[in-house]
Amino acid sequence: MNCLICHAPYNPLASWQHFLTLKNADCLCVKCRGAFVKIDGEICDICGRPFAGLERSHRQGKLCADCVQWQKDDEWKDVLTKNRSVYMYNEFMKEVVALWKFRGDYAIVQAFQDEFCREFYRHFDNTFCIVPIPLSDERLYERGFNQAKALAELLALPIYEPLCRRHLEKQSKKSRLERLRTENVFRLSEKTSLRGKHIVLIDDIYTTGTTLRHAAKVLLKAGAASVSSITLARG
Amino acid sequence: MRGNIVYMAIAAIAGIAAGYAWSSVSLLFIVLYAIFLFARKRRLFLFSIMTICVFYMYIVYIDRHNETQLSSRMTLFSIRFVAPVAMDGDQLKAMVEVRKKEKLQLIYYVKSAQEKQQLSSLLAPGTVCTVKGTLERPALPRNPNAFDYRRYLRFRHIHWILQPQSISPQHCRRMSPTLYEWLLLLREKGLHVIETHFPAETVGIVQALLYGERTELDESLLEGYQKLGLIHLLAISGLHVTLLVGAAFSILIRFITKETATIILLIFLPIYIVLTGASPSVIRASFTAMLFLCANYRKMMLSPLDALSVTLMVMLLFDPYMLWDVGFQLSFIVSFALILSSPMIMSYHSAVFRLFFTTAIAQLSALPFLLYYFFEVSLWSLPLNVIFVPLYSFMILPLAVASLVAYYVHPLFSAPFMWLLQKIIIISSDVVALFSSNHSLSLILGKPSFFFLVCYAVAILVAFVQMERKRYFSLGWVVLVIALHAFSPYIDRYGEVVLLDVGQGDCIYIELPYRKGVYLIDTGGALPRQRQPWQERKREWDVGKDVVVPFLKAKGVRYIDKLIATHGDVDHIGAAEEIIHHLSVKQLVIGKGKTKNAIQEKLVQLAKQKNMEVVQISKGDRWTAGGISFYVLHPFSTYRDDNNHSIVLYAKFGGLSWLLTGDLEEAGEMELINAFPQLKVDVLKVAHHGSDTSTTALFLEKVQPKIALISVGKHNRYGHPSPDVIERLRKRNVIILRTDRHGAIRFIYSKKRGTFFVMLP
Repeated sequence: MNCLICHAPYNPLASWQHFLTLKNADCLCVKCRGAFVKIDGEICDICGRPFAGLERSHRQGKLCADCVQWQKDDEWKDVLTKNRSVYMYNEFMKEVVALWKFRGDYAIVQAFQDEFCREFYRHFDNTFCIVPIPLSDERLYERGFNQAKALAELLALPIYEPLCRRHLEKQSKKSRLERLRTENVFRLSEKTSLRGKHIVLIDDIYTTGTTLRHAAKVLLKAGAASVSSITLARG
Repeated sequence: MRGNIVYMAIAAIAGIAAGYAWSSVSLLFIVLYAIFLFARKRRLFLFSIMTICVFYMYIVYIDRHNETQLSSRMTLFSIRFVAPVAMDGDQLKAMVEVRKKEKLQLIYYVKSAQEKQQLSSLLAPGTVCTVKGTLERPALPRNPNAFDYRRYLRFRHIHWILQPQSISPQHCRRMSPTLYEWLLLLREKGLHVIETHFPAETVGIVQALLYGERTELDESLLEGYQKLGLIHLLAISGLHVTLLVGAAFSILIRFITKETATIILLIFLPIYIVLTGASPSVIRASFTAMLFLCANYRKMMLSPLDALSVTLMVMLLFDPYMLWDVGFQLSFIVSFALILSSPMIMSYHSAVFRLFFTTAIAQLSALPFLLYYFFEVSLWSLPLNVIFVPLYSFMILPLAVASLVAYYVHPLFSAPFMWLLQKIIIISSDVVALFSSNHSLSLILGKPSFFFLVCYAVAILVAFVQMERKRYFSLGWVVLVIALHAFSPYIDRYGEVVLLDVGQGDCIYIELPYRKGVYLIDTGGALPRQRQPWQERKREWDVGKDVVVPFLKAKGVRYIDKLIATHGDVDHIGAAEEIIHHLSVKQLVIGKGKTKNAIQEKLVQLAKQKNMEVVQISKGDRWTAGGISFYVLHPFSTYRDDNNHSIVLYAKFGGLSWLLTGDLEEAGEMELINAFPQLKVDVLKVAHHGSDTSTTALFLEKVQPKIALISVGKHNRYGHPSPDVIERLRKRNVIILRTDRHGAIRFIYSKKRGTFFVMLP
């Protein structure tokens, strides 16, 4: 077998669990699998940022400095109930995301299956509505697939797509300040009733949390009871 | 298919097991296995079903054709020696071939020291002789759980034992050996070099490590290694082969290209298999190494599990009977468990932890097999392995190789290596001797029943899966099964009386229901033979060590409540010493009255030394255990120092009354019927092996037995049982069961009834 990321041939490690359940072997080699760093230990209650390696000044009680700022602002207070992320957005993750998103290696998403699902079910369950962050039509045409939807599909739960997105410049090309100040790019695509629903937004990366909060705001306006989110990586 | 060949290997095993002996268990397994695969992976399902069918038909075909072409009437044979000749004392054993087709096991008793020397230099693989002799069927097991020699030989396609009257050098000549035989001769030469040039203490171990030959190893040392679960170190294991191949490869590629080195090793490994005695573990390890070398040569990836599975299937195709080989089973199960556990082992970074886990996993996976074949495990096994595995792999083996290579370069160079090797081996042997003799911490659990084997398998699998998730408490399941297994005799409502076949002698095992008591009446024993030094075997057959102790261990007997010595004859208590050394005995029971019998005196001394209680009993004594009363009818307190001093017991088992008479003779029998005129019994253990000095017509008239049990050796020199006694019994329509014809006689009973079973039909 060849590794899905580095394409080097490797021997999938057979374990007892694999043997007894005939589970498919890991599609990554040991080296690539080991290069992902999972988030664990103490994290910020809201945005899921790991406290390990964070300066003391950036932490206030159970929240990180960013989330304290968000909570101070009446407009954005409690818009996002909580965010959880699976991996750290380290150098390796950046390369993998580039390969996946920008160079269009769609199949890489398989590599996240197990751990993404496990993290989802640790914090949420199948009563939540799954909403992937949409791409604008132009961007979707350019990329060929929506990475957030690809992640959402890993969960094998019904997916709702009540949002659509205006075409703007790429988020990743903007500075932090620019991002925070942009106007909301999301709107409801149809008059669906979200009354009383608990929603989990799905995206690839949480950087500042602006995108997720914008989407959350639109959904809350439409009557959602709460909006949380889960992302693959935490910047 | 790649990565999943293991499922076909399992299918191959199932196919062979079902094809050899069709049973509901194998059918059930195959059905469950098919459902499992069908639910998970259809493609695997199809391939596996095909594999089951192929191997099923293959073993059926092989087994049907595994029959002899010879008949017992043949007396003249032209034989060719096809394997090394084993000379042990006055016994010569060899594998020979007749008519270029059928193999025979040859056993010959050498008549003189001169002949022994002559034959050892003459007979070798490739020698052809013409001999006169007789063919005999190999023996069936004569005691419960004893070794089945007939099946063992049949699995090697041998159906007869050839006993030549003589092997005369005039009728033998050396033929040019085949390649295989030439390799065997090379091996003999190699062994001889080690024997003559290595320090005495190291010879056995070096031969075992380099040539897979254990015959020169000291018997008690070997037993110690076995007892402590270290015996695998003395087999050439996968680790040894990996180390040797790895070392050879890294040296070779300094001089030649990788490709050439690979080809050289690929040619050398099959030769290595033959040179090292072709034990299953060597074949497995070498063949797997060859697969890896091939894959490497073709720049292919090969997963270890696939390599192991392919090796297993090829070996079973080569010889499907190998599935029943203990070495084969242990070698594969341990490798399999270690491969599947490697992610678990690799998740630890400390070398000590890895070593500990590797050893623990090997032990755990081998546990049901070790219990099934050896009935016990030592608690020292784990800690000692943690020390001995690296010691053997990285000190003793490399030193042994270095010594041998240095010796071939120049004997002088080898001196420092041999000196160091000798020091290490002496210390390690001392450690093994110390632990195995006094503090073996052996858990005698007995041979697990099928039910317990399944329990062990499930508990161990659960433990492995949970350990992968770092939940170590799951090991509790295994401990629970061990506890249940140890405890199971105590909830068994059946008791058992067994007249063991100890040859000429007596040994009666009595187990009460719910194991409320375990008694051994006499132990059997052989008269010491007067032998010339050249006749002495490396290991004399001993009825205690080879029959009684294994029988008791297989039953899971950890201690004997009473060891009853009816009287002091060697055929009754000769093996007692051996039993006391291997198992704990609570109480030694002897007849009342002073005795001058040296054997009994020695036994009493030993009992006192071991802090056993020594009890003297005589007529009128009785004890009750588990609802069964034992009455002592004899000896009377009047002293006699012969067979007529035998302890005689009366008890009721399973609704039948039993009289166990030792070696009581006419005088004693008369005393008995005078003292107990009303005595009637159902089962009579015929006194004194059926000698006509006992079991008088008058005695039979009085006690009116329905069943007579005779414990007597096959072809014994006293002519027991006497035809007169048989006639007397026949006249009274008494059913006769005798150990020389029926093997061990077992009586399994509950409260009200019981059934007799015999080993031989």
